[in-house]
Amino acid sequence: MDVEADIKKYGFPQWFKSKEHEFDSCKFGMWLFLVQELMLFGGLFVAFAMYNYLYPETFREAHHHLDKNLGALNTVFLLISSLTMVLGVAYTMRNQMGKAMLNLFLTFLLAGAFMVVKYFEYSHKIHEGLLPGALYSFAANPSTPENPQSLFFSLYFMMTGLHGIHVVGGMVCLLWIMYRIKIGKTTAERFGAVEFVGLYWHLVDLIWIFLFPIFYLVV
Amino acid sequence: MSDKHDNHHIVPLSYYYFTLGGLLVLTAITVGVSYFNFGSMAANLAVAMAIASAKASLVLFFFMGLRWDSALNRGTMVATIAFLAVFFFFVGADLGYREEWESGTKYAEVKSAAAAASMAEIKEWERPSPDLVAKGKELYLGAGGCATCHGNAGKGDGIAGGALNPKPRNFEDNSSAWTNGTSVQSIYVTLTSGIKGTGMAGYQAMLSPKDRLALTHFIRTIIPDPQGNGKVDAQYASILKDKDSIGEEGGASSQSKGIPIDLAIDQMLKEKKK
Repeated sequence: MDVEADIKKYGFPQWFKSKEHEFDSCKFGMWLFLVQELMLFGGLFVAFAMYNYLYPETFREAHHHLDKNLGALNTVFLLISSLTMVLGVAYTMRNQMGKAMLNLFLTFLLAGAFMVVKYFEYSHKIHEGLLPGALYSFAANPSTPENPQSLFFSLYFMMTGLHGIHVVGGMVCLLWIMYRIKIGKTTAERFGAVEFVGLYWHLVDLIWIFLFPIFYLVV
Repeated sequence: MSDKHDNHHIVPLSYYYFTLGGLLVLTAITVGVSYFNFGSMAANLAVAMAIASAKASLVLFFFMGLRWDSALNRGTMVATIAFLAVFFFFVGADLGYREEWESGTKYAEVKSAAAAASMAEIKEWERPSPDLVAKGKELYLGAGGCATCHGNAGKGDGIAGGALNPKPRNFEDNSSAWTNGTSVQSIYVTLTSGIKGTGMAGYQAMLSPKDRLALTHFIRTIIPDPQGNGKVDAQYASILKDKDSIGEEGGASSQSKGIPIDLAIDQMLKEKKK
């Protein structure tokens, strides 16, 4: 069962009926992974909704520590990165590898910019003592059972942190894809890898589309 | 544009540019709209989520290609959204129907209040104090309170009591023996468990122990020469032993709401059946 030999000889691994069968199966597999990710974040969103409902004043106070403009900037970074990502896939399909690599690299840069903004946001909060649970030490507004400020920040760090880890994971995948294109493994004939990394990347964007308003905007 | 077997549908790039345009416009709208208050947090949240869902749809349909993809992949996404909706719905329904506390009430507060009252406190409340009597008067005369049947002055001439048989107790009348007696314990037992075969219901679920003792002391100010020792010491002791009745915050509502209308109607209908 030599994948490389099969691809050279037949164009696709022989345990699939056809190239279309291979592509459809892999794409479906990726979609299943993506919806699993949605359920993962979904659970966290339900937790946020629940505690927001139970402690509206606490959440209202706490959310003022978040900078709306930085949140909006990060949103714009990810949205543009979604465009450059899909262009990367589109140009690969059209066999325009130079443009493809450029767009994938731009996606990588925009993801990096997102993480840089995140770094500034997190370091500010760490500096102020606005931390999860027992680590919370912001003296001007202590966290009490009646006003559990630390609860908001537990949710903030857990949800945006998990999302941030997914962004970094995506950056690694982007490097991998660019490498594959460079060595000729991903081509206009076999572009599944870049398409599926693209799907993953859009999901990361999708999750942020919901994270942004609930933490930064809604009062 | 693409035949059924061609998975590699070449999408014109203009779709992608327009999608980004739409996404950026919606982002500007959601930020702009966040400066307005639509009345409640729920309303503000609904607006924000509606805009976010519109953005998500653009990403799903155009960037992720569901517009041109197979029904299987589309169906997978729809099913997932449905499961998330179920998740939110049931958690929301649970939270919404919890009567023990209103939204915004702190769980820790309620819990510690329930743990605070002890036997010692209840012994305290057995002794009449001006505060307790005043509280009892407030409950007696309050909306849906005892005065509806027993009258504002406790003469048994309240409006709702007109249809009851036997009539509501006239607290000024000591001529006929009271079913349970007139001691503190007697009246507390009556308030807790009611009197069988009459329109007097038990209010254990509606009033906390402290509230019932407050009412007891107020009512005893109306009774001429109330007895100190009643027939019901054993019942009183067993009620207090009942764990459910211990604690400041008792029963289904954290604030006593007086006699519910439907309970009074129930009693009146029961009487009519006789």
